[in-house]
Amino acid sequence: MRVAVIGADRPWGALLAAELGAEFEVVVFGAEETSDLAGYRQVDLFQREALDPALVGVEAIVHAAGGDPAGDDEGAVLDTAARGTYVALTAACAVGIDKAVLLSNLDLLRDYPEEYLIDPQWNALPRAEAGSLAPLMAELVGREIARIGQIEVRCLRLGELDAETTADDAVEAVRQALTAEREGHHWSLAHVASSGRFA
Amino acid sequence: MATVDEGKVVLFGAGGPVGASAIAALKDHYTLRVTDLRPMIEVASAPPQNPRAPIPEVLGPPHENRVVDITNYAQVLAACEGMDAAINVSVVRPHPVLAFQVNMVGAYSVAKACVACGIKRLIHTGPFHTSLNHNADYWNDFQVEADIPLHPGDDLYAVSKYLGGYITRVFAEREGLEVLTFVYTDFRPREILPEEHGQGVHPYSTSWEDTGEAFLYGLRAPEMPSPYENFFICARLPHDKYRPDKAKRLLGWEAKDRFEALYTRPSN
Repeated sequence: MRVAVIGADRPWGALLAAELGAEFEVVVFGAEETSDLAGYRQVDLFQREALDPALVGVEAIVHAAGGDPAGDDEGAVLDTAARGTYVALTAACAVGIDKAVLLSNLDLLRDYPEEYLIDPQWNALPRAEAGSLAPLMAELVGREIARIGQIEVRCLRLGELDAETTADDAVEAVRQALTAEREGHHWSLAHVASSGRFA
Repeated sequence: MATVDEGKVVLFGAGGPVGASAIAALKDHYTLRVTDLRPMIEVASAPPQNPRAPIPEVLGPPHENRVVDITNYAQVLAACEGMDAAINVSVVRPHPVLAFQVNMVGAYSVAKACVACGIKRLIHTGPFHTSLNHNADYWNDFQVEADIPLHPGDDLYAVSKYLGGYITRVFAEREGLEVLTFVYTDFRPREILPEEHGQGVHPYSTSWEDTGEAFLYGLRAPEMPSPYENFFICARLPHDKYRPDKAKRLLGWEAKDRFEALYTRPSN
């Protein structure tokens, strides 16, 4: 399977771009000009005109740019999460890709009391801050685009890399999401925690 | 208490026809700070959005007109200072960048500025897309009520406004801001022309005049049952497809215009 990792200049994207190659043919995109990753290409992730041709021949995408957008500018953080995900998923649909893995963040549930047993059936509880809202914006875009039925979007909420979620567990979760049989719902949520309250 | 019976109200994106309707309904009851990306005098001299859509009146003192870019938080914050309530009727529909900037980031800026300025009630606005060409858009449903979750699908306008609305909900639930969201589909003038009789009406329709008046009721309504409430602002039509009953129940508002002449067989 030819898989595009979008957002390979973000920590989780870089990890997955490096590790998924053992099983998949991986193409690697990011917004930054350069990267140490083999085959890395800078692509304007906000432009369908740039992304559509880059995705030709790809069978699935891993979108790693929405769950932890970089920067201090609140508007840019929200925009990266929401518009970036919108562009990635609409581009994927346009070229006929029918599977996407969307990386999000377990922080969306952090404000529930510690003693609660939280799973993906609990409503997200973001704070009224751009950085907290951003991963939910990415999720909502993913869920809504999945709803139209052209693409299956599996959303994985991750914790901090190599703390709450180990690299091995994240890679395995993404691998499983990429190879899983399509289900009745086109949107699914899963938590990927190796330790801590969400494990 | 978030009820705003009198005082100062800031309008964002007031240059469109919904803003024009709001200005007409509110100008005699509140001191308005009318803002838009363009100067209001320029807006008022431009052609209407469609031939029968209202154009905003340019108000003189004690009202104020101000150019505000809703994507610029500093400008939004300054516009909220000293206000008792805020109304956001800004919108960008087809532009792939500005739709997110105005409809989502703009909503964030307004909600954040309201909290920063101690404003207790925000009326947010958005579309209810009755038909988005996917199976979860409620197009085939009846007796649809205002509390249903919107399903914008991949429509740029619908999804970007949906995200903005969701953000205001988070501010309401987290920060004590009371947000009333008014959603619309099809607007038309109150006046029904002779040639329109018997031509039918969209099952989710609102006159421009009723649209404006709803803001007055929204500002004056008592405290809401929960900090975020969504309202269908439309006429109660005999199609019984979309029910605005919640607006009557919580705001005391119902549309005066029922458009009977449009959906009844004309007499010869």
